Amino acid sequence: MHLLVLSQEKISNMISSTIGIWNYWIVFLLMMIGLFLVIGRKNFLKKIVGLTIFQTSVFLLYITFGKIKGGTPPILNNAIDTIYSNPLPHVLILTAIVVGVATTALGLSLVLRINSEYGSIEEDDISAQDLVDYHDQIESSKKIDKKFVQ
Amino acid sequence: MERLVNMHKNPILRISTKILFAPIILFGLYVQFHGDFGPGGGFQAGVIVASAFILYSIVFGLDEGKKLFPPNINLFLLASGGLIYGGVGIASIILGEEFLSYNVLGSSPQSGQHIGILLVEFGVGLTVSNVMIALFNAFVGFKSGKDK
Amino acid sequence: MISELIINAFLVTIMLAIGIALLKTRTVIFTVVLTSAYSLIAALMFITLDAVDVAFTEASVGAGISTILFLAAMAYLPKEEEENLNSQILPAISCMVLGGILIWCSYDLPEIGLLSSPIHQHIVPDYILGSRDDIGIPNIVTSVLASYRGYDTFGETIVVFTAGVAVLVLLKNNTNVSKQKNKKSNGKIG
Repeated sequence: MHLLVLSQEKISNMISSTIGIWNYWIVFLLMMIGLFLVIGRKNFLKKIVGLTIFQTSVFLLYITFGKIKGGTPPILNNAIDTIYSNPLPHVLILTAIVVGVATTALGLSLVLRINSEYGSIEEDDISAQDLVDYHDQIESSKKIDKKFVQ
Repeated sequence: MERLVNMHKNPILRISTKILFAPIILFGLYVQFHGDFGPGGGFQAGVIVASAFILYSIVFGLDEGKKLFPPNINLFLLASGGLIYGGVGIASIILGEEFLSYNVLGSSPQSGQHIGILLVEFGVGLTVSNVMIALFNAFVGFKSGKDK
Repeated sequence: MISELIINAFLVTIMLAIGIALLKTRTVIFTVVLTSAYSLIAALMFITLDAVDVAFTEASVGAGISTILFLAAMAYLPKEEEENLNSQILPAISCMVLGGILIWCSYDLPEIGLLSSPIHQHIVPDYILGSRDDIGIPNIVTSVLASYRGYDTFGETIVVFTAGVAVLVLLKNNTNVSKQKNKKSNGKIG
């Protein structure tokens, strides 16, 4: 009986230590997915989605730091020896979420304007159009130079 | 697309929106003013109140939504939320303390803190709700340069 | 206690699955819906990690308003993403290397939920006591947000205000702005 209890404790310790690192691992993988969507994809909407994914994974990392095993949410109660989870990351992240959606909206509005100017939100298309415009500009300035010389 | 345009003719959507509108705002106010005692506060309450107006705009159309909540008032309230927050800070300076230290606002330090936090959260809620409504109106009312 | 962490690990794995689905999908509507689901599951995770205020905010803001904004923006944008596989190798390799380094470093991080981690030692006990004695508000998050870190929240409010005004400026009256670019446009409007 004693042995059984001991081994149970051991197993639960093992599980908790594995899970204790597991959370960090997945958060880092999610961060990398977000980063890849930002730097690897050429579609602007996908880039903004990538930023959102990255943001949320950072939020998760912060909140994970603030967790205390056996703690309660940080709302005071009358019991004497309650352990409260760390409220400081909660405050930081609470404001960051709202700021995050405001900045996402700003990015989306920039994407909308780019789409109405260029008719595309693919990075390659836009840089090709810019290149064409640039050459046109050079051509026209050459013409102006010629006129000036004549 | 035709169905979306005629959304306000669907009686189920229309009536359930009208039934839900007031309770959503009531819940927003509860979250706003109960934020001291339970989960909640200005940020969440602002978003909930904004979602009521956004629901109305989605179902009845943007023009009806603008009639319900005119853009002028929206912009005015958008700016006044931050002003309320800053005003609390200035008030605490005038009463002889540092910026945003609420102890002097009430008769005792604790009641001063209560008043300060209530006003500040109200300012936050006002700004957030009006920013969200303004964002929605701007996105939905956006006229693409291509279609003229 | 263990069950809490197991639920937590399960939810975070679902989030990873959604992230991988996001990598694969090329349709915009799927992307938007998956992002919304991602936010909702993040909100569930915040509840299991004792952050009720954050969960509330994430559920209303991340899963609600930001999805609505994405859907509203989607109506004006192309419905499909273009395929270009050639340029993705270098970003993928750099992301993998960076992820590997981060995972390697994760062994130095404190295990989840230990009371003795450095983050719990410094100023937070003062906040918890002060919220009871000096401020008299049960919700510690609110008292830290509005009173101890009032400057911070003031700044964030102004940031939200500024972002809102910037969006209004960007999306207003653009009828006369777009110039000869118009004739090149070939995308369709929803």
